[in-house]
Amino acid sequence: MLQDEAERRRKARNNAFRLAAFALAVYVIFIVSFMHRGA
Amino acid sequence: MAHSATDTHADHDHHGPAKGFIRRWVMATNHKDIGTMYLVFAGIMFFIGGAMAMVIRAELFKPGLQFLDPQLFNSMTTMHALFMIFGGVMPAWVGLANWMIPMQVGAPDMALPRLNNFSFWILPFAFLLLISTLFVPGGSPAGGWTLYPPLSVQGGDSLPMAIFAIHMMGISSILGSINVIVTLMNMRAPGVTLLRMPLFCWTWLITAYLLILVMPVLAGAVTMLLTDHFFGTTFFSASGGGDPVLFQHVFWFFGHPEVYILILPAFGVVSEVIPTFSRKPLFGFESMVYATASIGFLSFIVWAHHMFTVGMPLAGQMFFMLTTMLIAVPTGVKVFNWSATMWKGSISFEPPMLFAIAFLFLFTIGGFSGLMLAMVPADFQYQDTYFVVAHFHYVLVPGSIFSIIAGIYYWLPKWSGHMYNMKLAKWHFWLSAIFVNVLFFPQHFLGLAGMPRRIPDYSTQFSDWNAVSSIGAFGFGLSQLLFPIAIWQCVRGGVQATDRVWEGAHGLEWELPSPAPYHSWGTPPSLEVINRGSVH
Repeated sequence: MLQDEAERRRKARNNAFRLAAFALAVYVIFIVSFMHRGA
Repeated sequence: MAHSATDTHADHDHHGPAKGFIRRWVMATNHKDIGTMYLVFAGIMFFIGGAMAMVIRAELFKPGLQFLDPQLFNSMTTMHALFMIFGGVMPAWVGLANWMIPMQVGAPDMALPRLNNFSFWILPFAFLLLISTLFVPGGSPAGGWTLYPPLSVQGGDSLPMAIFAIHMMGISSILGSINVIVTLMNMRAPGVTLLRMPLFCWTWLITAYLLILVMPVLAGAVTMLLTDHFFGTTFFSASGGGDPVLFQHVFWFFGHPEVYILILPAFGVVSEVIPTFSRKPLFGFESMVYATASIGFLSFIVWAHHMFTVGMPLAGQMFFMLTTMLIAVPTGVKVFNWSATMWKGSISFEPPMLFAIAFLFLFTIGGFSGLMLAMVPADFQYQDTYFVVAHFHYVLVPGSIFSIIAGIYYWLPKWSGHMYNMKLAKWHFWLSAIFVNVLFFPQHFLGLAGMPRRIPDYSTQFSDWNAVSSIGAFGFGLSQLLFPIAIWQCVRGGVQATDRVWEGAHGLEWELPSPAPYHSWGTPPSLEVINRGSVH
């Protein structure tokens, strides 16, 4: 039971990191994709 | 009743709230405490933003300049929007999510409690920074909440402060959304399958994905604005090869999903309230889920309907007009499903239901004026008039805000363990429902007659309806004072609420005792409890 709980929390943490990385990537890509406009 | 939710098995969670303000609130990790803080914060922001609205309507009570210079008037409209959207509605939804999502899916808490604490505590600093712009040289941002350049970069010293505040709000929203998603995907009790989640959880799941997709876009847009102003880039300046209209595209690519972020959780609350007080299961649960997902998807391909008048190819106009109209289909599915749920139901009219029914009628009015605005030739006339102001206030006030109120009146007895003063809550409803229409309905007429938005003075032909609208605003503003009174009384005491609270309520949160224990579902609910709570 405790092992299940630890596994569940590990998965939740990994998913959280993936989502945060995705958000960061969207932020950077959006800015970089408009760099040709005189930046 | 024996509650597995309150089982006292030998775990470290069996304790009450921490002692002392700092340990309990500043270092809070309990989802209920953090939910309460979000809701209190949102309430304060609603009253600050509302006070700004009162200032705006006082100025517009009659033609001529009464109290404000035009710059301060524009600051008031800009700050009113930023406070209401980012400080009021969004944190209120996150507060409700914090309180209800773990209780509804049988989880002991949000998946990442410390992140939850961080998400909340960014917000007071963001809004302190934003409101302090009122006192810097040049005043607070006055270019509208859309921050269109070149106007927005021509202000005083407030621009970088506002941009940093927006970045902080964005980080808070993204982290909050991550928490909601991983809680719903990883922390559901065994047996609570995705399609057995209540609609409030479903609408929040889709909202959270929208937030993660679009908040970085807003952050990117304002970062580019910042570098244009301070570091010599020309993203939005034609002088260096950039384009001011590009900002509008990027902003509305964020901005349109944002309006669904404000309304989708409202659909969730209404989908919980209407079945309870109709004493019938929700009509078409799965179609509601699909309709919500469709609205979420469509929200990404309609953005340019906010900017038809900047000039775009006919094919572009047609595309954005038709995709916008397409949104009426899933929204119609929802409205018909709610109506069908009430059909032949044994309806009672407690305060949450009253607010939900008002939502149904008044949000639909806002939806219809949205369809009118979606039509390109009509939009050329309506653009930047009070018709637009009337439209979005109909979807946001009796849409989002009435649903937040409905949600609080619905779950408050579960949170506090007491029933609130029904008479006071009904007064709150009737005064709100009447005055909100006195306030916003005449703005349709003003807009159709050509009154532009964001002006402190106007032609005398618009006097009468502006006076009516202002009277409605003062009435609406004053009647909202009843809400904190009703909540305060309820929290302090009152008739003991039963566990189920409402006769027709179904869902895991109603299987918990009232008030909900500080740590609920320490042991996941059994299948029997899940089946009893589930009606679909």
